[in-house]
Amino acid sequence: MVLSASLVRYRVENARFKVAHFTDSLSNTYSVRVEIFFATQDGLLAFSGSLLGFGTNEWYFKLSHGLSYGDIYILSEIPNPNDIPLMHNGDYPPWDALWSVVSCPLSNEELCNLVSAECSSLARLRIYIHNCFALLLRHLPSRLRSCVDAKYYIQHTVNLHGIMNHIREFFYVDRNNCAVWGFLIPSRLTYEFLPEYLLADGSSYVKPVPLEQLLLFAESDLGLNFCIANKFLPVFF
Amino acid sequence: MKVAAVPWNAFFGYSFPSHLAQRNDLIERDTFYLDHYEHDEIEHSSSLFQLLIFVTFDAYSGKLTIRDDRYLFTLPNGKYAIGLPFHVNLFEPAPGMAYCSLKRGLPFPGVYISCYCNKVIIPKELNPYLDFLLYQAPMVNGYYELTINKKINFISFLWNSHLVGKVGYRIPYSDTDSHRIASSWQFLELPERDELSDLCIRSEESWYLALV
Repeated sequence: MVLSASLVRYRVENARFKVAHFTDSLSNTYSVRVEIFFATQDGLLAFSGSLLGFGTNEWYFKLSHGLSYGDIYILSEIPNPNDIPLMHNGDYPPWDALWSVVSCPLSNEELCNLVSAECSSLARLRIYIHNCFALLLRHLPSRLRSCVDAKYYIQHTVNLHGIMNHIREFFYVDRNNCAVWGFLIPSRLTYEFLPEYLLADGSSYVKPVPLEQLLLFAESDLGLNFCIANKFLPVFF
Repeated sequence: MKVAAVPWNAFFGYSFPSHLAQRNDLIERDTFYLDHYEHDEIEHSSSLFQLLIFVTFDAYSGKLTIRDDRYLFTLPNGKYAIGLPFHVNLFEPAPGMAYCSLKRGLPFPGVYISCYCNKVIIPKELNPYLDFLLYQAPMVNGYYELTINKKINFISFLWNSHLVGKVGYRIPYSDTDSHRIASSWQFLELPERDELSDLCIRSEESWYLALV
């Protein structure tokens, strides 16, 4: 069994989240997922399945990534957070297996101990989630550039300290027992990461979706539902 | 039953205050009103959003705590719930409705709006399912009238053609009530859950707090 590929799971004990041991039963456990939404002026960006390379849908309204044991290892090992770790042959790793670029030398029990120690407190988990968010964020424009044309220079080094105050974070529990840490990138920053000329060239990979169309999917996609509530609905004072 | 609703495009982005500002007929000094419609006529409308307040019954022990225990009950359809939905009415209290008011907010230029949920009246037919309210909430003419008097700060989620805000009604509890209350996690493990209660729980940040 390759533990790196397994999702980190939590069990609720006395109303507290505790990291479950990898040999425990999966029932009543919760995995953790990072979801990233990119706002436009009047809606959200959608990404093609061919760009993201996961799932069976034609388009996705979010980047979604379940936190695995391997992710925790690789995020603790990356020396420079602005490097994009690639496979040995120079290819990008699959979205759902970013950990596969580094072979983990730890035994399952050692990796489990590392994850238990690192993910048991909110402060530590927050660091890993934010690093995972940054890694996903760096992958996206780089992959898009490789799909369309390499002539564009893409600013894919992300200084999180400068932008985190502008990114809305929200939390929810999905219907399939995922505790989700959501990020909503405001339109101004969306166009910084993915300039409009790149979006125009990559229209078969990325497209803006206006709100009235998003509403059609809000019932089935809880993340989208809560994101719309966060982004578009009025705040009372 | 007349309920408050707004055209869907008036409620998004920054257009809600300007939508209200353009309707002089809906402004009376510092109070704003919305158009009200017959509920059955707009229930399946795709052009109007109805406002809904979801009231949860929070178990309050008098101690400062981050626990989110709530009274659990079953609805007439047999499903478990932790709260009840009320359509918003800005003109008069009525059974099944949340009597709310929209007030001008901060004294800055532009229209800043505060939404107050003043009172909700529970339909009589639900009384047998809410026995924990007995002696804890005032009853008027056979209806439980819950005085809320709290601000609704934001819309939490969308549900069909409804925009749902949440508010809690505190009920003092003792240990003898412990079998009737449930935390968010306990609720999520129940087999038959009411859809709105489920959405309400899922939209909360409790998993994040559970790591503290």
